[in-house]
Amino acid sequence: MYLTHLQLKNFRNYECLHLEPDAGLNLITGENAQGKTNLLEAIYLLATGRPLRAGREEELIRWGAEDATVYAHIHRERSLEVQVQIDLSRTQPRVVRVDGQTYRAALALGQFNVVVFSAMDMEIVRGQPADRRRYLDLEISMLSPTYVRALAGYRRALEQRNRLLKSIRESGGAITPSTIELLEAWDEQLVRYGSGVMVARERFISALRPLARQAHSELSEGREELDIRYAPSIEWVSPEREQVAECFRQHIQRVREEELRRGSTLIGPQRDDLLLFVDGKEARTYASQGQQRTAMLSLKRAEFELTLQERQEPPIVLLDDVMSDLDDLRRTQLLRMTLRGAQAFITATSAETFPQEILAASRMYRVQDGQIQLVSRP
Amino acid sequence: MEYARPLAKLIRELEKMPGVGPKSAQRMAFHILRMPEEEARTLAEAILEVKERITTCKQCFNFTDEEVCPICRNPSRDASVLCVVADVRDLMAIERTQEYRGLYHVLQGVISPMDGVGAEQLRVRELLQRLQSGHVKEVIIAMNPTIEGDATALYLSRLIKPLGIRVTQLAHGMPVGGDLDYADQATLISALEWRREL
Repeated sequence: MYLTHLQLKNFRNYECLHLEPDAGLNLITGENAQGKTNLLEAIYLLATGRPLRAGREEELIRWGAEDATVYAHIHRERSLEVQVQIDLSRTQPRVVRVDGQTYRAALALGQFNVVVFSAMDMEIVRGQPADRRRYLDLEISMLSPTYVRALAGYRRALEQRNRLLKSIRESGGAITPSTIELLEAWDEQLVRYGSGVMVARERFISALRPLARQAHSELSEGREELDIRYAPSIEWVSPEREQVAECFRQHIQRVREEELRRGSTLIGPQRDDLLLFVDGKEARTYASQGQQRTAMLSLKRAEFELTLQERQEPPIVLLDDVMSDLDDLRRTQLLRMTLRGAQAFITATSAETFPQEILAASRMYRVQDGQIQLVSRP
Repeated sequence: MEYARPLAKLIRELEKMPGVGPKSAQRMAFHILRMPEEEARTLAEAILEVKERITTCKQCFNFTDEEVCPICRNPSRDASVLCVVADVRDLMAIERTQEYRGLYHVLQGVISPMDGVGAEQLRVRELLQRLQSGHVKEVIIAMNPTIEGDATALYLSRLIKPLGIRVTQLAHGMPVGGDLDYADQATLISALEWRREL
């Protein structure tokens, strides 16, 4: 899959942009704060429905403008060509259009896939469990639209249940049989949606695991071993929906008193983590910076391979200013991924860090103050 | 320039209506202003009358201008079946089918701890009292298929089943005359879950 057209209107610092990128490598250079990342962000937004950077949605709209439009035409090998458009406004909720039809935002996910790698991704290895859950949610959402619903349902059920537990605690803990019935009704909602979320995470991680191990072995030239493991807050024997639901249900029973005492839900997907091990030691605490970077790169490679397996065509690769941080070997490995028929958008402050063969194969752009200029074609 | 006070006041009151923004409120106010006085009076009286005369049925909590609503008073209705709905609008939707012959119970909402709505805020105690009489053989729970609707249905079934009464719930799934092709994923998944033996 690749973008044949990208159009931006009042998006970040772009007043108006019309780009017809190469189906292969696109190299975007420019000084800092000129709009390189904004370009990747537009593509990312169209693929995932989310901005690349934290912040309010309004910040995506150019300063002084009332609304913004992001549009792309995507060529897909395994399904029809598709046009995705997102209209953002300061006063209205966003509108997502797929082939001109208006959709609710969640359904626009997964029209095409991206694998993004930016400096912030190091948080997946180094950061908190919440960072890794966010990563999991985003990746799974791109491959499975039903996950989006399970997750939204779970969050809602969790919020309702927490509110109930809190109000029971505040009422001085007078627990009537009716209170227990009420809590059990919310238990069941929590279990129904939560088991769906956990099964999907389990499946995703088991599919990613061999690919990540393989990638890491290659990247480290066989010197290091990577392992990734799902760490849910409850245990189950086999990851079948009904099994997981039953274990979740039983575990809720066991923590009932503790939950009533604390006034909040103590187990479930909101406590999950994804553990990364390098040579048997947890990467977050024990791996060196170089090892963490390799682990991250392996995870990205695995994502690429998994999307390729699932979609039968490579995802679009977005590399945001990461080349300069890598040594030659890893840089070559990373680029090898992009050379396997994938479209790639690579940003860098200068083209100097790139091998000559890459430069020769790339369409090169230069970005300056929200204007883009084609420098050369392959 | 601002509108003259009485007009500004009317616009502000109309804006409080659900689904009415400043623009619509303004249009309505201008419309009222142009109405013949008689028509405006009829409207004002209708508003007051609804407040004075409409109460809830003491049995089922449907809206009525009598003590007990016409549905509950109708002897030809089947008193052994009770349909529990969240809202009078849902009751009316089922009535329009002209298929259902049982009685109703309006809960006056769904359970939502976030909005401070628990069993005490709803007509749950009254429902259980009605069921104590022993006439009811089946309770049909007709909630919206939302997280709160489902939780309310589950909660009620837990309370009612121990009384030895059959509890059923409206099916969730494909709309009649709908196209599989056009159904959204949530509807299809739900239809698969609720499939039944042929």
